[in-house]
Amino acid sequence: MPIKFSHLNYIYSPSTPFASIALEDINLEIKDHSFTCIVGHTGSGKSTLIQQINALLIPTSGQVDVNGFIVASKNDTKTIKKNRRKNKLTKEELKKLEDIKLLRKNVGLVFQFPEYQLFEETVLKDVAFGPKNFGYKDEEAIELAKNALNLVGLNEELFEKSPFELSGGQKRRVAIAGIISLKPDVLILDEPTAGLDPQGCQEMMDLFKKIHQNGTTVIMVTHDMDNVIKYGSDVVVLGKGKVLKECQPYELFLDENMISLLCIEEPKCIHFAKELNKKGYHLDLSKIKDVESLADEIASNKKEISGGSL
Amino acid sequence: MKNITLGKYVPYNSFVHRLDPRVKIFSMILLLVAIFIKFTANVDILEDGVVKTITVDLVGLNFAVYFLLFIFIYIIMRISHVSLKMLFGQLKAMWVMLIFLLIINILVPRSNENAFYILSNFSIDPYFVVFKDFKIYYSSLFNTIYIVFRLIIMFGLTLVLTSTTKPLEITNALEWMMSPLKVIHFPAHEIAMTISLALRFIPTLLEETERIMKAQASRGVDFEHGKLIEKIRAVISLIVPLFISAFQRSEELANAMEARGYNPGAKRTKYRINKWHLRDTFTLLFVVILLGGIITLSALHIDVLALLVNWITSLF
Repeated sequence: MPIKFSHLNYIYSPSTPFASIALEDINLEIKDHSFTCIVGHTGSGKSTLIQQINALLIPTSGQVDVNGFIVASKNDTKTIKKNRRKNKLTKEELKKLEDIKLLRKNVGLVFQFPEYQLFEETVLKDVAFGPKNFGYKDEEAIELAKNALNLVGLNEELFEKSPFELSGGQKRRVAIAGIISLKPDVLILDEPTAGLDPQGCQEMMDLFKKIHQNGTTVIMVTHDMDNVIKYGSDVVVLGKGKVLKECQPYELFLDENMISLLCIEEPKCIHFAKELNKKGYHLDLSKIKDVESLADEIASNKKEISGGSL
Repeated sequence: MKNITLGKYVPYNSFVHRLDPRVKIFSMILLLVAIFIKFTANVDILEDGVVKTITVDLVGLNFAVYFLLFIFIYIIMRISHVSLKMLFGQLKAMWVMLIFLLIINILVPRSNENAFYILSNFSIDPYFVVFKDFKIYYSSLFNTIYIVFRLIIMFGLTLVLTSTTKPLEITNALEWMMSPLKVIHFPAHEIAMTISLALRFIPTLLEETERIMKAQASRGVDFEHGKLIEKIRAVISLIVPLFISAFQRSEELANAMEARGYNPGAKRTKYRINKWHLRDTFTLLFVVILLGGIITLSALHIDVLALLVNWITSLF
């Protein structure tokens, strides 16, 4: 499901003294089955941007096209509908245009600190809450919930516990399972690893990798550049409500301007590879994702060098 | 959710914004008293051959005074950048209660005792018949209209106060007003602190509500449509997390305050000290005179409006 933003603007509390422009003329395409990372300063509009994708916020002008689901202001939707009639589109497609609920089923959004949204008596019930809302029968919902909980790696003995008895990391897993249980085509994550210990971070990211490999498009807002380089297939850089750069992760770290503008620290493996290149190595930065791939690259480079000289 | 204007401070730099918060609160109280004053007159009537004195409403005068007060408050609203749209936006938020109140009020029968005069030389039947035995008394009708006027003016007044005064200023002023009660060990400071904390966390809780609503909406909760049971479920999914986070927050806040050595009993100095200006004196004086005038007018029990109308007509 490709996601297309076109000429999207968003203004918070328009026509009041508090009005502020959050997004300005966003044109962006998020590819199908990509693992897109969104980076940028606090207040650059990352969270606002992702909320447009499942219609939690409606653009002030412009639109988001999520595979036929159009998120746009009321007036814009009307004109789109008019034009669609001219273009002779089927009733199904017209219906899809406004079906926010179906859109939300297809696009799962996990907010920052999602553990605050838990409320049911048991873990299983809380995870099954989403599927039930989208019209699954009780047994089906429980089945989906169990699958999702297994996927996030939660023990079966915790299923009947109250979510409030769990540890912070477990709570977050439950909350994420609550979204994953809907089997969305697009999974949006707003800083999913914030506040977790390093091991918890690692496990969480591996989980998202697994979900991504199952064919889900993943969009992740993050500040952790190590995760961007390791897991991301694309990067979108936002600044002051505008798209500053759209590229592959390693390209971002080749752009010195961007690095100083964002005040980011390059991932250690990239930094190390760059330093090696300065000393005469010829490492292919696009192949470096983490320490392991860095080691592979150095090893193959060394073979090349030794093979060439001998 | 962010569109809630209730009690939200709007930063401008108007005359009203610059006034001392204590003056604003005092003036508001005095003006609130003023709008609840009703003008009546005593009239002798002949009933069964006996002369009886009854009290009658001076409807015309009441409306005239409400109108003047409304104009006065509208001017204040204009000065302090509060629009009529904001005012009616607030009334809109509670229209169900308003309509219920007004209907009940209209249907309450009143006795003859509460007769009324529109002008002193004008009198009609005490009620009109809608159909058969269903009567609506004029005095009920007028009373209902009074309530509408009072509500509008009251809302206007409170809106001016809250949108021109920072919550912290209001609580400081309240603490100052309650300070004489400290003599009898009334916990003025603690109460002021509680109020200011409560006010401080209203926007935070609203934000939190919005966040949880969005989070649940992405799990398929529909807060606007659906059957009653679905709506109740939706509200539960909002309230439980909200309460939990509110309790957590308050505990964290209490710990943070204690960690910084907060002691409610200790004597504290103020960071912001209210300075009394000449404009404050004049404003207070003006409001006191206004209230005094209205009280005097009502104590006289004279239909001033009728006298005025008679005098004007006698001129021509």
